[in-house]
Amino acid sequence: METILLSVAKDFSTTPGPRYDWEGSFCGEHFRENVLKPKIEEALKGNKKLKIDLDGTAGFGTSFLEEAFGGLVRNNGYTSNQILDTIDIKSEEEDFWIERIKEYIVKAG
Amino acid sequence: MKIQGFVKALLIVIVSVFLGYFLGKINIPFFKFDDKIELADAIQVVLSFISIIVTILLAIHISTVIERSREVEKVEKEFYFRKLDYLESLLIDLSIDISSCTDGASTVNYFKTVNVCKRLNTGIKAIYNKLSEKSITMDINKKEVFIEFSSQIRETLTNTAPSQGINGDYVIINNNQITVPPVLISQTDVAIGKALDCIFEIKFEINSKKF
Repeated sequence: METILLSVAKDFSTTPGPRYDWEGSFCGEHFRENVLKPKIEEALKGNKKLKIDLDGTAGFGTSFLEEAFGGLVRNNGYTSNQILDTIDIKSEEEDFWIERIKEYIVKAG
Repeated sequence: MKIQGFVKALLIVIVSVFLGYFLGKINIPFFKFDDKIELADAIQVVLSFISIIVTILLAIHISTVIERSREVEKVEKEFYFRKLDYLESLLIDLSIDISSCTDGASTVNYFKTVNVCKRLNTGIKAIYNKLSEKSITMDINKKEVFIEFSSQIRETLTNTAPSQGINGDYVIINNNQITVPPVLISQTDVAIGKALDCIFEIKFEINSKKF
C-alpha cells in the first residue's frame, strides 16, 4: 500500500499550540482543518496509508492532539475505524502518544 | 616490540645471575664471602629479587587500573546525576511558576509548559537508554512512574474542554497563556512532588550500581 507522509514539525509547526484559535497560535483545530483533513481525504480517496510523524516538535499539549485526531470523528464525520485504518503514527521521542491518539479517536466516536 | 623487550629482560636476568656469581667469587678485603657459593644460589637470589620487583610493579599496575576505573565510574555517574538535576530544576521551575498565584489562579506560558513536559520525558528516556547501552539493569518501574506523573502534569495543564461551555476542572488557555484554577494548582503540585521523589529514587539506584 502506498504511503503519504505528514510531519507535524515540517508541514505545520515545530511549536504546536493549544486546542482552538482563540486559545493561541498553531492550534489543533487549525492543524486538523488545514493540514490533517486534506491528507486524510487524499489517503482515503487513493486507498493509501497516512504516516504521521510527531517527532521534532517542542512538545504537544493534550488538547492539541485530542482536537486534531478526536476532532476528525467529532467534527468532520469520519468513523473511528476509518481513521484508525488509514493512519500510522510515528512518535519515537514520546511513544506513549501513539496509544493515546488511538484512545482519542475511539472516545470521540 | 614485546618480544624485543622480553629478550632484553632475559639478557638482564642472565647477566645479573652471572654477575652475582662472579662477585661472590671475588675476594674483597674486609668482606668475607662464602667460598662455596654456587651458581644455583646466585640464580635463586636474583630470581627472588626479580619476583619482589615484579610483585611491586604488578601491585602498582593493579591499583592504577582500579583507580582509573573508579575515576571513569565517578565521571559517568556524574553525567547521569547532572541530567537528573536538570530534570529536577525543570520541575522546580514549573512548580514555582504554578505557585505564583494572582487571585487564587496562576498563569503559565503554554509553550514553555509543553516543552518542559516533553523534555522531562525525553530526558528520562535518554538516561535509561544510555544505562541500557551500558548493560546496567535498572528498575523500569521508576521510569514508568516518572513518565506517568509528567503525563499527569501535562494532562492537567494543557487539556482544555473539548467544547465551549463545558464546566469542570479545566484550565483556560488564552493567547498562549494557561490560567490554572486553584484545584488544579494543588493537583499539579502533587504530581510535581511525586515526580521529584521519583528522581530522588532513581539517583539512589544509579549510585548503587557498579559501572
